[in-house]
Amino acid sequence: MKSKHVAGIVLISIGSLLAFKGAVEGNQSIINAGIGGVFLGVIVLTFSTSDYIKYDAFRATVQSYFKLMKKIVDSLELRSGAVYIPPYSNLPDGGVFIPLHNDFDLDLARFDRNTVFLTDIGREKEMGILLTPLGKELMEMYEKYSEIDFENAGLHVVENASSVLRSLNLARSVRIEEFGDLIRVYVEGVRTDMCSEACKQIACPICSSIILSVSKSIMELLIVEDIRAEEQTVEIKLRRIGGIDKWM
Amino acid sequence: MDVDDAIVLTLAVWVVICLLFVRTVDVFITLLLIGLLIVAEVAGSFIKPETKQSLKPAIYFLLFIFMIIVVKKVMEVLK
Repeated sequence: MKSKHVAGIVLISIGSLLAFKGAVEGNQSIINAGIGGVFLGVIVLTFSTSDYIKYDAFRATVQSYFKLMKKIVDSLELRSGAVYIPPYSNLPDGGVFIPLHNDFDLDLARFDRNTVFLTDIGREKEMGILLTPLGKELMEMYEKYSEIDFENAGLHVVENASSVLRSLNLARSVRIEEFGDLIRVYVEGVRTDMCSEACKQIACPICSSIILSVSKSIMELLIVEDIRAEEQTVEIKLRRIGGIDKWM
Repeated sequence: MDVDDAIVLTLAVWVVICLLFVRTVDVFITLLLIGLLIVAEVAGSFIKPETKQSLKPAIYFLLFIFMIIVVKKVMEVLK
């Protein structure tokens, strides 16, 4: 049993006893103390449901997968930054396409859930790999916590990610600036040291979730132009490259 | 400190303040309800949806008691 459960039960028990004693003696202050104890006990029990793993455990389990993904991209000699695809009929969870060349072309009609390597294509421009975004689950949490479906909801909804990242102790805030086709995302107070320039291709779960959220909120494909990590701030530079219809 | 811990601490401080300054049970319960509603609204986006759901019975229970208090007061005025 967790210590929070014990604390909650003890508070409820003491509160009930005090409320009973106050009622017998006709002392309203003691009744209030009892009610306060029960109230706090219930609150402690309600908030004791979260189970967090230690940061070291998180690093040890996630880092190796992250390195493996980077290794695959390096060995395939993929050059371009990742292209984030918002959810659409073929890919309901969205996707990340890493093209072989900077001068790439896309045919979203070819993509589906089972596609990973796009190599058996006549045109080399369309070659690359298609991955499920690492931050898909985090993005679902942003939507669940804010009770907003991000699809076409506008860029501003992505700033709701701040509260989830903050409550998970992963980052402090998310700020978004838009300059025409260019979108700049600032993730401040990042607690993990996973974010680096390598996130341009295989973004860490935090960056990935934010970029996917941006893509879903405007329902446009985004190419990652640059990711800079300085101390605890990560700056992500994205460029809009059109909606689903344009690339079908 | 976790956001959850901060919320519990805020409510604990609120309960202590109410205990110090309030004598009657009905005002105390009303203030607890107000505190809980404010915390649920202000910190809503930081709270897990499951936790938000489990807070609802406590809010409904306090609202029910608040309703009884209001009815009691109305009856007193009418008499």
